Amino acid sequence: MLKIQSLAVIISLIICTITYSQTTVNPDISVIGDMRVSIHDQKGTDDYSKLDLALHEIEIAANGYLNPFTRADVFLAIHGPEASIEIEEAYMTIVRGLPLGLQMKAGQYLLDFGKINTQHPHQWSWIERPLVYQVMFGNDGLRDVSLNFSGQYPLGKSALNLSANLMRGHIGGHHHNDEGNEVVEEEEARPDLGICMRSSIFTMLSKFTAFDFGISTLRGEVDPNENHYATMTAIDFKLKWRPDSYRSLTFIGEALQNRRTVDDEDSPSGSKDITSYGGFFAMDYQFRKRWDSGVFVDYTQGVNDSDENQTGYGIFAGFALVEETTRFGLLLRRDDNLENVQWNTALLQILWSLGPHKPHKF
Amino acid sequence: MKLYRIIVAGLISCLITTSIIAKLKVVSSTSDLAAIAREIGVDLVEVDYICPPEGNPHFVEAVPTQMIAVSRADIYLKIGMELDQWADNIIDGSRNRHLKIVDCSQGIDRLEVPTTKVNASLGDIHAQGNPHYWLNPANGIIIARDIADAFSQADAQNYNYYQENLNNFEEKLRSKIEEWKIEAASLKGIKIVTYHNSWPYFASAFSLDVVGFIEPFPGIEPTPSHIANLIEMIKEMDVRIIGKEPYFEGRTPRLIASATKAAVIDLPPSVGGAKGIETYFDLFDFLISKLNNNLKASEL
Ligand SMILES: [Zn+2]
Repeated sequence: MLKIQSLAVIISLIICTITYSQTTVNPDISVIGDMRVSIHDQKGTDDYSKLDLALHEIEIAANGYLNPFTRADVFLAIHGPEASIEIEEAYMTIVRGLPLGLQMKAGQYLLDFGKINTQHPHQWSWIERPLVYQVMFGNDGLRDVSLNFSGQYPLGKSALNLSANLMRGHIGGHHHNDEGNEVVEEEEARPDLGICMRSSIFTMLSKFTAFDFGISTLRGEVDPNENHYATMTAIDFKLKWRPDSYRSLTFIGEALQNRRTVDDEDSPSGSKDITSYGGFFAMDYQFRKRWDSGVFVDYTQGVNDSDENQTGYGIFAGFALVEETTRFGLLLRRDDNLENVQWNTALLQILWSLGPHKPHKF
Repeated sequence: MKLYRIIVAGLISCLITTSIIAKLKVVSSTSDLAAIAREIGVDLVEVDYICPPEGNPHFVEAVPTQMIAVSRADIYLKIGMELDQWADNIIDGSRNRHLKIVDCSQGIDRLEVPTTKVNASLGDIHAQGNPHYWLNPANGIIIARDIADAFSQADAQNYNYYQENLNNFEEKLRSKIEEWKIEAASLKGIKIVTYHNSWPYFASAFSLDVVGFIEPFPGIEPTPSHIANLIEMIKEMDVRIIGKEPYFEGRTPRLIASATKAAVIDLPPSVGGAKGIETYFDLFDFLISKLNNNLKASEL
C-alpha cells in the first residue's frame, strides 16, 4: 500500500512539474467528497440496525493538457479516514494526431467494458456500484494497467465507436477491507495479458432523444497457476430524452455473461467450465431542474458459481443544490443474498465537488 | 479498354469538380456565430452549429455525433469566455488535428469582468466576464472580422471574396445599427428585469436599464427570498417588462408578474430562437420591435 501511495504522490508531482515548468498553465485540480449516512437490518452483522456515518470516498483529480496533442488525467481516491491513497485512474491520452483518427490511452484506468464501468461512482443517481460489477470485478469495478486504442467513425447519421484494450490481466479485482484499504491478494504467478474490446453505436433518435448501444468482450487469465481463463461478454444500452434543462428521462441497462474455468475436485481433470450471468437496469427521471428520482434492479450470479444468486432492487432520489457542487442522494434498497437472507438499507449520500466542473458527456 | 477510359475520365472529372466545389467546413458553438459565418462565407462555406437556438448555451451535453461533425470540419468557432467549455469535449472527441479553433471573444470589449478573485459563491458561469457579447450588434463587426481572417487563412485563394463579403456585411450592419438606434430611441432608459444576465451588451447598445435578474447569480436557480426582494424592487422602480430567455421556465416570471405591474415577454437571445429570426439582422429587428410593442402595450 505504501508503494502505491508514494507512486501516487510521485505521479502527481511529475504532472504538476511538467505542466508548471513548460508553461504557467496549471492543471485543473478538483476534489470530490462523498459522505454517507446509512442504516441496514442485515441480521448477524456488527452494524445491524446501527446508524453509520462514513466518509465513503474523497477523490482528488488533476486534469489537463500536456501539449496540443496529449492530455493527462489523474484521479486519486481515499476510501475513509484511515485508508491510504489509492490510484483510481492515472493515464495519458493522445487526443489527436494519430493515423485513422485514433486516440491512444495509456496508464491505469477504468476499462470501457459496458457503459457504467468507466464512470466514477459519484456520477450514479443509484449511488452504489451494480452487484454484477462488484462480484465480477471487485469494489472498484474493472480497472487495470492497460493500453487503449479507440476510433470514432460515421455510420450513416450515427457514430460508431471502436475500442480495444491490452490489459495487464488483473481482472479479479480490488476489494476493500473495513478501513477502506485495498486488499491486495498475493499473486502467485503473473497472469497473461488480457484483451478487452467494445464497439458501440450512438444515434439521435429525435431532436431530444439519444441512444447508445454497446457490445463488449473481455478475455484474460484468472488463475495463472492452473492456467484458467475467463471470457466475459456484455451488452449495454442507454436511452436519454432531454427536451430542456428542467426534465429528462434516462433508461440504462447492462447484461453480462461470464464464462470461465474453475477448480472442481469432483472432476477427473480437476476443473470445470462454468457460465454465470448478471445484469443491471435503472430508470432515472429528472422532473425539476435540481430533482430526480428513479428505480433500479440489480442481479448477479457468482463469479465462480452460477448458483450463488444475489438480487437487489430499490428506489433513489436526488437533489442537486447547484449542479454537482452540492448534491444529496437518497437510496432505499432491498437485497437478497446467497443464503436467502434478505435485508433493507437506507442510505443518504452527501456529495460535494470543489474546483472546475467539467461539462458532462453523454 | 473503353470502359477503363470511361472510369478514369469519370474519376478525374469527379476529382476536379470536388476540388472546385470543396467548401470550407465550419462548425460553431452557437447559431449566432453560424449566422455571421454564413454572411462572410456565403457560397464557399458549409456552416453547422452545436447548441440548438432554443437551448441554453451555457449547458450542452457533448455527444458522439457532434464529434463526428467536428471531425470533418476545417474551422471551429467558439464563443469563449467559458460560455462554451463543453465545446472542448466535442473538439477533443473529434480527434481532428487540422481543426483551426477561433475564439470569437478575442477582440471584444468585455463587460462585467471580475476585478477581485473569482469565487464560486457568486456562481461560476460568468467567471471571465459576461460572455453574451454577440447581443451588441457593434460586436457583430468584430466577430465577423475574426471569422473573415480565419476563412482567408484557411482558403487563401478566396481572400478577396471573404473580404468583400466582410465589407458588405460591415456596411449593412452599420446602417442597420443607425436604424435600430432610431427605432430603439423609445426604449432609452426603460427598466427591465431578465431571467438570466444575458443582456448587458444589448442594454449598452440601446441604453436599456437592466435592473435585476430572476436568477440570484448566473446559473443559480431562483430562491424564494430572492424572488420576494425582486418583487419589492420591481414595484419600487415601476419595472414594466420581465424578459425571459425561452429556455427558462415560465412559472417564476409569471409569479412575479402577477404580483407586480410587469409583463413577461420572451426575448430570444439567439438567431433561430423564435420564428422569423433567420439572420443576425433579424435578431435585432425582432428584439427591438418586440420590446417596442410591449412598451406601447404597457403605456396603454
Ligand atoms: Zn450567461
